[in-house]
Amino acid sequence: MELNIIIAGVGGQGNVRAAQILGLAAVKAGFNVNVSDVYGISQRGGAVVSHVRIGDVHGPLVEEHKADIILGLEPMEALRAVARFLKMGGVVILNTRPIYPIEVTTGRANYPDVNEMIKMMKEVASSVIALDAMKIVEEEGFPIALNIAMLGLLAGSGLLPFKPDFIEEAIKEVLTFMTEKNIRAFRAGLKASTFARPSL
Amino acid sequence: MKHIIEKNSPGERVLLLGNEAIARGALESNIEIAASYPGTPASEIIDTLALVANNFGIHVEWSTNEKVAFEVAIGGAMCGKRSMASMKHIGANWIMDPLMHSVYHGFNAALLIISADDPSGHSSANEQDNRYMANMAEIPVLEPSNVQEAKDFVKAGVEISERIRLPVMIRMVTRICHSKGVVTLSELNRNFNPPKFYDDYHKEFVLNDNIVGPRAVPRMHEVLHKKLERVEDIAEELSLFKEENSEGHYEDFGVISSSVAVSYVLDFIKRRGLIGKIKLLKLGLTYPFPRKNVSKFISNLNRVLIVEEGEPFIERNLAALAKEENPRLEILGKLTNHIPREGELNFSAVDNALSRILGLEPEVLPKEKLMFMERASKILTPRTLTMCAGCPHRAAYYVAKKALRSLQKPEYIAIGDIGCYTLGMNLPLRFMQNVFGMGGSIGVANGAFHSGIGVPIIATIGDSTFYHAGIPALINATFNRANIKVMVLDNFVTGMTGYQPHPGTGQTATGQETKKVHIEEICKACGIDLVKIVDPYDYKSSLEAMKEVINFPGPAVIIFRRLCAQVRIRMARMAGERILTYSVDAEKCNGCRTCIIAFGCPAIGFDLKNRKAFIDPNICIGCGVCINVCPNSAIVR
Repeated sequence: MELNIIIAGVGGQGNVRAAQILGLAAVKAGFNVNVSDVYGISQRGGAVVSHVRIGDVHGPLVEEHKADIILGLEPMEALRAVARFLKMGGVVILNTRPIYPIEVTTGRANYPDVNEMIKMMKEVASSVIALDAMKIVEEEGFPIALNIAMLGLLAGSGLLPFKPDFIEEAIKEVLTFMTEKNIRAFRAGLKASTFARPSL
Repeated sequence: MKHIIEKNSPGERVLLLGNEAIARGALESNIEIAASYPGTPASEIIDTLALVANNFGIHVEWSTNEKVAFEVAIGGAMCGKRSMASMKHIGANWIMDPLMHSVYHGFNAALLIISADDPSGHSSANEQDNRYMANMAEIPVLEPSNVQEAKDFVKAGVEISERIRLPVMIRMVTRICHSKGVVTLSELNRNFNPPKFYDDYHKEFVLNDNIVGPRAVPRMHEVLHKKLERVEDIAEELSLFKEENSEGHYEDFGVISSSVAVSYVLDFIKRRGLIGKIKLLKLGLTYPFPRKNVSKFISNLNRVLIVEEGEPFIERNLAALAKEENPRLEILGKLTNHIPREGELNFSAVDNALSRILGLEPEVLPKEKLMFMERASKILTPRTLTMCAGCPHRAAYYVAKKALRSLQKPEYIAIGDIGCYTLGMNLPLRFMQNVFGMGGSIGVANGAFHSGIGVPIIATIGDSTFYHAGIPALINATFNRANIKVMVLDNFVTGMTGYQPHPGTGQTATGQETKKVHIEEICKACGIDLVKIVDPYDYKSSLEAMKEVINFPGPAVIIFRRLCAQVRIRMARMAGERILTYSVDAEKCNGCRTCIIAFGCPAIGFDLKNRKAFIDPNICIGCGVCINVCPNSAIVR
């Protein structure tokens, strides 16, 4: 068994935490796992890519064009990750709310059209689950838990080889502060997974 | 709650970060003193040990710099306590002086250097393979290949260090430091050695024979060489060499690898269905070069591929060895362009090399994916790093630029230093023109002044960096009459590496209260006659002070003092405090974009449809500095 997941986002979105929780859940479920985060100076608005490899794997990083799933916390970063990592026929789960880079806010570049990006992703992915996940956590009054709600959507996709309960257990272990609110955000994501079940 | 590395549950499988695994290894092997200066990717070793130090009776510290950290470890080992110092690759450059001395000594307790290379410079300004540093100092280097080994090799390092009485380097790389993997825990059986001074050097050389200089030094060097002769056998005993598939399908071909590169080779073997078919020698020790084990491995080979992270270190050593042992051997690797010379390795690089050598079909991407990649590359924009919303450094740089402009000094030279504030070189501030190593801002500014270039010379340096390496250069400015202006950006923490304390914070790594060492007092003691302290959020006072400093006829310092915005926001969150944010009055905003072009706080965006600036309340932390930036007074609370 081998499942390769990329979590793509922007520094400050909680990429690294989400990957840690997912990895720990996999260990709790009895799997081998490698988790690796590729970032420069995190927290400073740069791109962050976390690699979660579950099963019979050795290297810390997902091989190019071998990712089964891209969990995109930010649309343009998801596109970047799809281009580099998604295998043909893989699955994309995407938060559609952009975070504009300074190149865009200073008017030196345009932010790509989100609908256009989704359309493009559909050409290489077997399914693209795109929704405004930020809204889910805003409704919970806990916008910083976007990463956790996205884990809810991932668990709700049915693509993980273990039950969502393992993720809840991992959340409790990793997020010792505001644990309950995070669990609620996770369940909100799970509940919002009303989309058709994708398959790999 | 207990930290995971405190669990005394031998056999349990846990998920650990590579750096946490080092910390756990330190606990399992009874390290009693651990010191470091923060530096990515090594920081979490001490961050983690500091959390558990009090429960385990270990002395854990953030030292003022790496040299001091290593000296602390020397002092510990000299007094019979197992000790270690950890640092990033460039940080290790600072320890060269004490390291070159320490190899002529012999202690009763282990002395470890954990050195973390950062190939590709994810968080660094250079690539540097510290195996060469160990080679120069002539100390053993161990290279863990995964997170489990990161833990286990600490124990092996302790064993080697004590048996041959030399410092041992454990060479980590970013991809192990910052990867989490499953680790099987061993027993925690803490027992402490009573402190007792002992040093071979003392006993056997200097004091015993009362000899120094040429009569002693070559003798000490000879002792060092004798010690190294034993290392390979001990490493073999500790199973640091692993040979796989010795039968192999490809009779005359093999792979030698170390560190994280081993995992890429293993993934290749699995991915290409070659399990059990490729001879692989994994080296857990690379210096002194394990001649015996490598000779045996290459004896029947015609070709060998070396897969290693960093410089062609194994490759060059092997070339020398093969001349004697197997002259017909064809050595493939970085020097033959099979493996990239620069940058971090990855699966693709190894896959390319091995499939080329073995004559396997390279993997071809489907046309749809290639087209997608091409289209994506056209619409993707880069995401340049920038200082955080409300970062006091941005305010300080903005003020400095304004001050220079209002004094009609558009020409100036500003040298940056190592920290978050290095980002002041980037758009939109572009304040500094150059940056060098730790403390380099002040030192280089000294020389720039003496060039006679005749424009204001400014050095910008963070608080932690100032303590680390800024002080000697500041004294030099007084001593040698360099009229330079130093901006100390004091945000109370070592920000870039994860908010570690420093000598000015009044708290040690383990949370003990300690006396604060004040930057302003140091500056005065260094002979600086004008030292101003300002709050960068207070724009008007900062501007006046900056102008005064620039106009002062001698070296002067201005300290911009304000808590790191990230720490501030965390504290507010923990306390449940509501942050009062700012917003843009759309009536008054005329869309001039000054706030974006001249200031560039990530909380400020621009709505292209309405041609108005806006402030994202989720990002704004309410510093209010941008009020002073807007020419139309459109930013309001």
